[in-house]
Amino acid sequence: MQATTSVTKRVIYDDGIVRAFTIATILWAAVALLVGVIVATQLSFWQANLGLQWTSFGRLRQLHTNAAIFAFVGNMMFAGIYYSTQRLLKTRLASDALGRVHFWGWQLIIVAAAVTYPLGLTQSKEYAELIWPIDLAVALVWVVFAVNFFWTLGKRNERNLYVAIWFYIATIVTIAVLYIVDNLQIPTGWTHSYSVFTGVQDALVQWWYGHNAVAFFLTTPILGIMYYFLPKAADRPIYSYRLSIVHFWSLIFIYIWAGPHHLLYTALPDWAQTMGMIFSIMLWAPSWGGMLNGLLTLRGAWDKLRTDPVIKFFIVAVTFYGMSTFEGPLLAIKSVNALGHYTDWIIGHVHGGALGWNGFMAFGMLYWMVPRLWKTRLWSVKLAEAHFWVGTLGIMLYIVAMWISGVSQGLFWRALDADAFLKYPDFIEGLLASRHMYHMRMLGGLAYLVGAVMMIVNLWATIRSGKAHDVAIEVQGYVKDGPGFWRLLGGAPVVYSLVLVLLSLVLFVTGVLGSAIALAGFIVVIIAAAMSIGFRRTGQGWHDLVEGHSVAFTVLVLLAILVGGLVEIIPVVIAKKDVTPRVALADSVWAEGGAYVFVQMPYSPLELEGRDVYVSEGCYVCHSQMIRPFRHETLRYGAYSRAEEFIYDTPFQWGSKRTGPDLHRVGGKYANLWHYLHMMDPRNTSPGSNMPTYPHLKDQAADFAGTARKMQVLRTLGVPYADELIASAAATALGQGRLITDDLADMDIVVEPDSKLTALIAYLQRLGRGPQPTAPAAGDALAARGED
Amino acid sequence: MFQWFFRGNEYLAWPLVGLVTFIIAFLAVLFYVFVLLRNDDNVGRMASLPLEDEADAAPAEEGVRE
Repeated sequence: MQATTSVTKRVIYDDGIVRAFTIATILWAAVALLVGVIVATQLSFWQANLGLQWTSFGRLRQLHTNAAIFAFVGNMMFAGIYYSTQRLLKTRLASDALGRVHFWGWQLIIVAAAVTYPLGLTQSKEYAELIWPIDLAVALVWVVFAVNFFWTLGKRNERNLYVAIWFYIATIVTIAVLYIVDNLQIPTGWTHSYSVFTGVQDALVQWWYGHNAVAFFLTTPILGIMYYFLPKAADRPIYSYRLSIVHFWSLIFIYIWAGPHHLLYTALPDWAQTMGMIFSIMLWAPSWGGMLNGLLTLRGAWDKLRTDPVIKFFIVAVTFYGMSTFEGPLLAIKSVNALGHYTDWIIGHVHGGALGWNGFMAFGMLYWMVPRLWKTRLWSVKLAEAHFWVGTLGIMLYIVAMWISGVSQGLFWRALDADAFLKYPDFIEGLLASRHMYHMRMLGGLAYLVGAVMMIVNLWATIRSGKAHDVAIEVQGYVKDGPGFWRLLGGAPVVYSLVLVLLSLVLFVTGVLGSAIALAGFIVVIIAAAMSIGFRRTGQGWHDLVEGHSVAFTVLVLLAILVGGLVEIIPVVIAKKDVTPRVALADSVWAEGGAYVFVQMPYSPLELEGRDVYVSEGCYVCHSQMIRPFRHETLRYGAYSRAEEFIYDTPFQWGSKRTGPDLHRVGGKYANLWHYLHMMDPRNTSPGSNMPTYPHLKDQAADFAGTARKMQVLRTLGVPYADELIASAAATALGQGRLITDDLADMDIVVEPDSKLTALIAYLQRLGRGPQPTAPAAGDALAARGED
Repeated sequence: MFQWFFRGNEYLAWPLVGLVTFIIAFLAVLFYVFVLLRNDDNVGRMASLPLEDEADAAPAEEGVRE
């Protein structure tokens, strides 16, 4: 043990950075919610994009989700973290300069996103759509934030780390891991890149990220904020600190596994789907443990709920946390997911969490923090009360509408008649039936926005009535207490964790004997750990010690989240070699040694460009490319989708929502003319559709000059493009384009062969036209093998 | 039943190891929290840490205008 040295210090908190992030939160909340109302209006009235390509639903939806997550909740999270961290550690932030770099860097990233999404510059990976230069900026700014945070931990005047700080550490570490892995990509230009993952792997990595972005960006930091601000507002300690320890470790360990529940009944291996489902159900327990811990903090002070708007917002937020974390595992059960996936139910679930949990936590925190940051009183309690009720009404309208609409869609899609054929074969019927619910959703969003505007007025008046104020305190600081870093790093918790990981590897790579030895090793380590903890030779439990040493704590958090990530992703990446990418001269199924080998063709240069148009316009936002193995899906869309069909798909385009029908086997289903008419105005071919028009695609040229570069990059990722094809990419694309435009010219329609529309039609006509799971005739199979 | 669920998986050991690791870690945390921390005074102090922030106390009482 090192000696403790107490010194009295005067500490002035850096509340300037908190105020900056607070104001940014208020401003971006307005933007995120406004864009949300606009896109909701577009789903009710497609004309609401004003006929502009930049404001079409496929582009604005990305702006809305990113603004809500990274701009609104992101800024709120940083404000809350900087405010509470300084107070819980009784120290000023380590670096004012790094704080300002963090603030302005984050705002610039948001502005860059707000510019690039409407321009159609996107990676099409949900919540990770930013193009690669902005991704680099995100990584850089996150590192600045992390350095400032951990530096502050290093100079703290409070030995132990309060539970809120643990959640912040988990957020910083995990988001860094997730963001870097999901955005591993090779640029083809300044605004375009290809993910290094393809098909099934890309889907798994993306939803490992996507799910955990919700977990570690929208949940863990907000839980940290709950653990700090709720006791402050209630003026009583958290209900159970012991429960918070269990809550934290079990939550971060389990959360990281649950990503595959976004891919149930897809081409993802069944074992990974089942694992995702199991861990999602397990997530129920820690989530509700946290919720109950929050709600019970108000024990003996429920009367405050009547009078204090801050408590109102917090309690409803925690209640929505409980509701969302009940609904999430419910939707992760495969049989429930079969009904709910791709429907509006998922949208309702997401918004219950975003508007109820995140939004109301943010509002409660702002109402509590702003008067203190400007040393004044809240301008109007009544207006805050009105905000609460209008906002609550908005959420209820929104999620009830989406529940009704979503369950109806699920039932509608799967309805079969007495002869086991589709009762409602026309997809558009279901959309038309949802229209009233879409209007109700729009009104709910509008009410929520009106409530937020009330808050903005209230907080603006509050700020104007006060004066910026930095809190100063006198603290009894401490200089190192507990074992040194290296001793702790080599101490029991970290050593036992490493041994467990090594034993896990032994269990994997060896046979029965090795597995038995490894399991025995597990038992020995558990006993040793229990004895070590029991002895408590230092007079403190190991958790006390680890809490006192932020680096060791961070290492343990990293291990906890890596276990889930590695166990899920490595087997799927290893499985790549099991899918042999064979190149054939034509799409076909070859019989080989009695087993069928599926042969997938790479995209042609024109199809590749068309795919980029599909990505750029955000088509994946409303159309899936994943037919699930259900009778009603195969009747409606064709043969179910298989993993080998996506081996050249980067980024994958499976989608997560069906406002329109699945497109995986749309190729060859309709004539080129149908696609032309549909893109000019979807109502031409699908009366009642709410899809935007895309006339601009006819007038814009695809970038054939860059096609060869894209193909070269794809070749480095494993797509077997020949040198000759790469060299003649532009000419080949033009040639294929002429086949389409000549076909249209027969109907007196003039389209340029190098237009984006031509490329998109080529891509759509290609979809699902790979090998089908039908056995060739015996004679054909023998001929393919060169036998008589 | 798990064998039926994982019948197509050549890497069965991975999820099983993950599950075992979680159960071990979870039991260890439960043991620590509910047995070893049973009479720990430090728990009470840590739980009250946000309330030690005296500088925020005064505005908390006066920070809301009726």
